[in-house]
Amino acid sequence: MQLDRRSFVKSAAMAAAVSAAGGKPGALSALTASSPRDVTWDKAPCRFCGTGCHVQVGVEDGKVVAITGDERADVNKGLLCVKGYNVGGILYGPDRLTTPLLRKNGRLQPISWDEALDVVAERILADPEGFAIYGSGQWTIPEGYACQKLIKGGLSNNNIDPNARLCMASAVTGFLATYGVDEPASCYEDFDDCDVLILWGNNMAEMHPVLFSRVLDRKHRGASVRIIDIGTRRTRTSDFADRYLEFEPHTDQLLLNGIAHLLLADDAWNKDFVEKHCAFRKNTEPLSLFGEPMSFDEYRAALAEYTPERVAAQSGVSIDDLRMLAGLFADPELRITSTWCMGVNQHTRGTAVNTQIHAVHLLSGHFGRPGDGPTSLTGQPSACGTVREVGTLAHALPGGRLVAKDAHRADVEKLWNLPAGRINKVPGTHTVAMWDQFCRPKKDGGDVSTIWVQVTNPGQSLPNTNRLFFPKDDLDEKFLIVSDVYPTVTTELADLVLPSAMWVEKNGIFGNSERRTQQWFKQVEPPGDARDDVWQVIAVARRLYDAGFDGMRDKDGDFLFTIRDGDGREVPVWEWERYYDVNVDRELFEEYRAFTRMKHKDLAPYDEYVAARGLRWPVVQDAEGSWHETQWRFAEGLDPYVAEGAGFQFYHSTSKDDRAQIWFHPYTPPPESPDDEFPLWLSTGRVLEQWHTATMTGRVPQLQQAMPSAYLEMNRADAAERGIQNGDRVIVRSRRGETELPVWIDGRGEPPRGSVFVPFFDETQLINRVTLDATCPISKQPDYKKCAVQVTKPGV
Amino acid sequence: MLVSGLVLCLNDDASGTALEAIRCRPGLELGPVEDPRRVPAVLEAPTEDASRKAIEGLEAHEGVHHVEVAFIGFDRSQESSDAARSA
Ligand code: SF4
Repeated sequence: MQLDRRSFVKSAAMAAAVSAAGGKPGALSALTASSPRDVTWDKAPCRFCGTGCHVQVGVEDGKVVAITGDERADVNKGLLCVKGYNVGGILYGPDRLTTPLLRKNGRLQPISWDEALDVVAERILADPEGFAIYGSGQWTIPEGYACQKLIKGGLSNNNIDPNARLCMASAVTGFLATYGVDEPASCYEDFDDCDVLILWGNNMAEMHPVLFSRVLDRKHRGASVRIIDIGTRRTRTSDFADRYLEFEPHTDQLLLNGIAHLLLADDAWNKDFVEKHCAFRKNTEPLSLFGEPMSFDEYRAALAEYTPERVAAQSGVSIDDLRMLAGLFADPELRITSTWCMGVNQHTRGTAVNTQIHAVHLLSGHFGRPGDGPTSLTGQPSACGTVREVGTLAHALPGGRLVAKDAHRADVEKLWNLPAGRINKVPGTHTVAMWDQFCRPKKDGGDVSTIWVQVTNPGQSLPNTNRLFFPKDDLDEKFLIVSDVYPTVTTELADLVLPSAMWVEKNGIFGNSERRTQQWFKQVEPPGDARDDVWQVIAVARRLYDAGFDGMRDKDGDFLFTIRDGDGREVPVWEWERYYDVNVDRELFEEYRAFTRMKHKDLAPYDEYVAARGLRWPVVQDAEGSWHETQWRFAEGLDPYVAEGAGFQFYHSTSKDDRAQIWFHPYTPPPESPDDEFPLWLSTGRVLEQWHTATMTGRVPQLQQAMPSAYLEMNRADAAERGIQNGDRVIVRSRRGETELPVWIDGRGEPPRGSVFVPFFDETQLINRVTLDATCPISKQPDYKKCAVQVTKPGV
Repeated sequence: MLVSGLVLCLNDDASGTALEAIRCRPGLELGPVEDPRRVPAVLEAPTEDASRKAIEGLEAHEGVHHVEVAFIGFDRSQESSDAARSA
């Protein structure tokens, strides 16, 4: 049956709605089979957040013409949020970058790809130690892997770090410090099974709306699930929560110590679980990731001062509410899911707060059953798959290996067939250090001379951009290369701009927040001369190889990125015309897969992902040859690596005895607090309709019109005190910089007295000129959620 | 013309009356009702803005808990990209 176009679109819409309403799964497949002859459908993960919803992409005449939620995807079961159903529009903004541009006489001028590649290669050859790549949690797995190999296996300088350092580095260090291995033990089914969902500084209704709707749906159908929103400002999430508890910024550390204190004081901790499966840990001085052991008695003594009275007085959360929270954890019958995202991670004690959330779950034994455990969420589609698993961080290697460890470097050198000693043992520069060095003359310690930015927009998203990004004197020797799809704040300052293919214009693989690896195929051509990021990396590497750069050869003298066809012949994939002769993604993924078994993060062969809507690692093969994903880790019967009879087994335990670590961290005051001159707290964040710096969502009319510009949320009383009315334009100013915004009182979010909130998506109102670049000493993640500001009318 | 596939999530106590009132909304076609609390529907609107306003109107309707959007056909809407960027 063939339908006319309008009927087809209407039928597709109805089929998707029926399917999402739970009435008729399969309706959409029937419809896609009956769509007009020239519309083809294929799967892809959504391009935006770390939830990893799957969409079906409808393509007609080489153009994406329809998007629908994929009913066969466990993550979203056919649903999408407002961004997801508009994701196809991101390809078709009118100002796509379509040709390489080189700055000549102050202006970006079109050049050929050949010239562009020569320029990149010349910069590397002139100063290989000073060359850095700054990437992102939006890199696909093969993209991150190729960059990782180029920098660590080829240039031997370890100068690679991602924007994910700004969003989830503290979650990584929290998992490593607690379990000895990164990423959540649990999965999204926890949202279907929990009795209580505790959101730690997490506006899930706007940031992870599809996951939040899983919980809302359960409530709506009559399930008794309680949502407790613990935050520093009321948000849309608070509107749906059963309880909203507001705490003074930065005092989450106190709350968590207060809960642990009560569990011990009331003798309500889970002795059996703790005695069998946990050990206690505390800080060292200076702070370190793994700290040192402490006894239970020392732990109890350390928590003694966190009495309900003290915690309530400092945090603003009442003693009754603190007791209510502790009471939940004390109840072994409840299934409690804790979740968090930037509120906890973007914190100068981000590692500590992460470990403290794990600690209250472990201490109370709320761990390892469906619906019962701590799980962090990520903001980018492959922050987990690429950054955390491929290890595109200045200190890391694929497979959970570390550059500082001799044996780890040797493992990687072996798999990459490199001569011994090729990989540098000194970690490279982390994000803030990288940009700090780039913004300093070499004579003043600015050793990073060239940065190649891929798939991110640091000019808008770095903290304190006046220091870490915008122009300074004496920096003529520096060179900024940017691969991107649209003009951004970053390309405005770039010396060389490389136009990239995006999303379904190329093959790709992402890894979402629940350890799910998701593959998709190229479905449409990129515009003009835009080309895949993986190709760009390989083509530059080949330029270096041809120039005789030794690092581009393995120990047999072969090119680092040698890719062969089925007959064993090398395919010159560095030539764009030949790039799609083979599936380069498949080749790189299969090479990378060997690393994943090193830390029980086993991935299945590429073709298994072609057939699936993602699989959660470890993915293991049974005796019959079938591959099986893992929903919950470390629990017997759920995780294939847990020994029979163990109950729970933390098999990467840092205490080497299969135990998880219950950490104690003392409360530490923030580096900057409101004072007479800067009397308000500033928190920054995101909104539902725009994604990150809006380079993509800002090109989609539906999204841009729904949320066209940033604003400053202010408490009514604070505004009245300053004579400020709703809609007035004001200057928000910190010790570092200022920007001008309209005020929104009683808006979408409601900050309490003494604090304001500004979203960071708007490139015309750069709030990161104002934010603080102080970082967690362990994760090096900056705190975008707390700095001191003043708000005045212009001219005051 | 913008076409959206929606799931209207209705409050238990009001699903019958809410449904009757909603049924008359212009551009809205209800699908088969198997669970009266989750009703599939298709919304047609002339522009993105009208579509958004119509969905907001549905969400504000008495008896409607929230609206989930499961599909959007956006292929003819790109002409207004320029306008949106400069809005
Ligand atoms: S929740 Fe995230 S992944 Fe899902 S549709 Fe929305 S933006 Fe995309």
